Amino acid sequence: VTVLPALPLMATPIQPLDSSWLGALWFLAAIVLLDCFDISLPRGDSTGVAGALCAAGIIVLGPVAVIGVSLASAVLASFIRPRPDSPRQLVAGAITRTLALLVTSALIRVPPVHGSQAVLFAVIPAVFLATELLIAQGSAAMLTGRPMMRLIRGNADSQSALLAAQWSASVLLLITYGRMGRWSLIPVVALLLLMRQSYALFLDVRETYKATVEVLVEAAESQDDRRVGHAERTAVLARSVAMKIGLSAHEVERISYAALLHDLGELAEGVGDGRGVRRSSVPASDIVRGVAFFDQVEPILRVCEGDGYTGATESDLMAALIVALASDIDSEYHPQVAAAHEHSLLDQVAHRVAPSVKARAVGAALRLGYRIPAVS
Amino acid sequence: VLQLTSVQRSAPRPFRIYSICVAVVGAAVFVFTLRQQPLQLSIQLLVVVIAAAASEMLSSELPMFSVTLAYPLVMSAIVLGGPSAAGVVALFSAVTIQDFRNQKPPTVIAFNAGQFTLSACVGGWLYLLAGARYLASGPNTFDPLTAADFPRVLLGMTLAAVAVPATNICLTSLGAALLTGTRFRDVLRSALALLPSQVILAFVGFLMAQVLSLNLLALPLFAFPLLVARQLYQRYMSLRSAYVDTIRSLIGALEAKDPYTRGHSERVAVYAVSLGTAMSLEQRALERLEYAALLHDLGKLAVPGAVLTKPTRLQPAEMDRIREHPGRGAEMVQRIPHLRDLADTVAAHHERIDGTGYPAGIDGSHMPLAARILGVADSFDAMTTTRAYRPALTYEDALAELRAGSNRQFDADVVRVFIENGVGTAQHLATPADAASADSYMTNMSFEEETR
Repeated sequence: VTVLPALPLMATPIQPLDSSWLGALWFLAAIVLLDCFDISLPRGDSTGVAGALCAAGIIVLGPVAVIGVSLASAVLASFIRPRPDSPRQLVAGAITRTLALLVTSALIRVPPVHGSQAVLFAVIPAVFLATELLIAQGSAAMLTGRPMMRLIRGNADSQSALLAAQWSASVLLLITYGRMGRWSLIPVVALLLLMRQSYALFLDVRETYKATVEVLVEAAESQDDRRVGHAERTAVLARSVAMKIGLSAHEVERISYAALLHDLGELAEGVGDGRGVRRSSVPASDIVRGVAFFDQVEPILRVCEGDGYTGATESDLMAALIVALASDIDSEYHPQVAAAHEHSLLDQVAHRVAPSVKARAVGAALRLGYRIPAVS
Repeated sequence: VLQLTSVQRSAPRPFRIYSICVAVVGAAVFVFTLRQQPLQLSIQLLVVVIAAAASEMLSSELPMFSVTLAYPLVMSAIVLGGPSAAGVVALFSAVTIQDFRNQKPPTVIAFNAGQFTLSACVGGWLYLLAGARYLASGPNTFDPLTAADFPRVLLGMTLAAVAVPATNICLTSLGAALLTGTRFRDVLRSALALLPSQVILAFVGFLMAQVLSLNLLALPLFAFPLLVARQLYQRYMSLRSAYVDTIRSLIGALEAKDPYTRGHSERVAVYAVSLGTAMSLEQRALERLEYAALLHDLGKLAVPGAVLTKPTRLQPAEMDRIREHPGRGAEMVQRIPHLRDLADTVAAHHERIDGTGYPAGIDGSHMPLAARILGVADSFDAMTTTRAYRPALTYEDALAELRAGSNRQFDADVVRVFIENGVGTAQHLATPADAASADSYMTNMSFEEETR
């Protein structure tokens, strides 16, 4: 550990606070512990809070030691975790963290940064966390073809509070490490676990809502063979179009729910009471009205229902258009769905939306390779 | 930190006596602590006191309690100035101007002050007894912890980290139970769920004390993590509490397509929870029972309406379709995180005690209690509402059917509790809109068909 920092690229003008093997081992244990508690995100990847320790580790252990610790922790955690990463995820995660550590370490050599301890303690964790986010989102943008800046902005929106909290934890570790040594890792890890636990609980309950809605809609759809799977497919389609356009995570989620629920009114429609009486359809927006979780979804459904609703915002109209487009694309590929619908949802919504908005949504769907139905 | 939030003026007598006892014991321990270990005043302690009082404004409301962020501040006071400092911080966080503004009854204010001061002092003394030292070495002077102080400090901290929330939770749970007439173990169980996060918060308080003694200006660094954790927790709680309404609303809408079963699941949930309460089930079991009742006919949503509302005898294939619904419902429930454990209940709600039910034909000894309760609640509602193939039974006739099916179709104990407690009497029994077309089928129907 003490020899490696001599590598020319890694040489920094500051001495590590702790250059012992024991210190590196404590960091390794703490990072592995936090990595094991990574939170699985609904989109398939995961997020964690161990970045705070890696950031502080640059100053505490020195750049080379922390890169070694970070790589070892990635491998160890992937073995210990109940759901291990795929080799590809493991390599991508390790590369992202190592790159962020290299970039941040290089910054220490800039005189204004290492000139003052306060600046060093504040800047290094911030730069590391921001760089890690940039690299992770940049590679995601390259892989998915989604606009990078929108992706970064969306993630910064949804995770900025968590990142700021990690930065705070990192600075607190640096402040206390000088006197308490490696014992200071215990309360800092506790703080990070507390944040992680709150975030995981929140995501967990949201996932429960999503699964509940999916299951209920699927159950209702299975009454009519023509409709089976339509809501789920529409939600997937609408989600991919919204992400392709680069809408925020919040908007994507709102659209996803609206797509799942857009046919709820027809699904709840009476099938007759045995005497040939057919109840009229209940608007989906009426069903979800009053349910706090769907407050943000109701305006989209109201636009989709085409009842002359005037309270819609620009984003509601855009969202409704995406839902309608996704529904009609699904009907295009599954003629039985078209037969089950009395009219085209897109026709109902498209005339309310500005041409530029239509162009964005249709353009995104075309880039995703979908066959587009005629838009009025 | 848990505190009682009640604003009801007329607290029950046992609670009044209990709250006075807790307040007196808390005050006595606090005075003893101040005499044994005089308070060392400092700017750091003042900052902690102000932060503790302010933290009241950021409390999260639970059904019977409020959870505040004062806990890490009390732990911080223990490390900074020992038990007397912890007692002062606890007192200022438990009694705030807001309490008087919200017109909390004096008994509740005295109780909150007493229980929290007592908890803080107990934690502070345990910290010292474990051989740990506090940081104040004189007025406004501190000697921060060094690596050499460990692991002794860690032992003291761990003892205090468990003792303070454990005392707080036990005292408050008993207070809430006496105040609201809820069972102590139910309140305690829901409050104990908060214990792990409270223990973790203790270590945050410990870090806070060290940072305060090193550099007071670094204190705002704690704001982000604590506020983020609090905000996420609050959003989680509000989503969780709205979940049952969400299911009720969606199930209600989808069920409404069959005019004969409109509102069925919700009524079954009401009957099942009444039964569960009469059978002294715990709060969590009642919550699970309500979810199971709301979702018990999920599989039936997939059965074509024409089959469900068919006024004539069902064909074997149609009957098979109906018989599949508990299994299909269970498969669907299995896919919902948090509700997976209800799949067995949903799958077994049409099983019979004598083992002649469907889909698996298991007997009563293999049926979960919740499924036995649902079986009675479901059948009672089916009997007392008009179906396409028969009119509604009167309350008395339905009870007679339950009695007749006791120990064969239904669990005898559940039926007994149902009848003894008059479950279903207070409910509005659906009246037949038009039963004329169905009355001739009733006598020829098997009971199984009646309950479809």
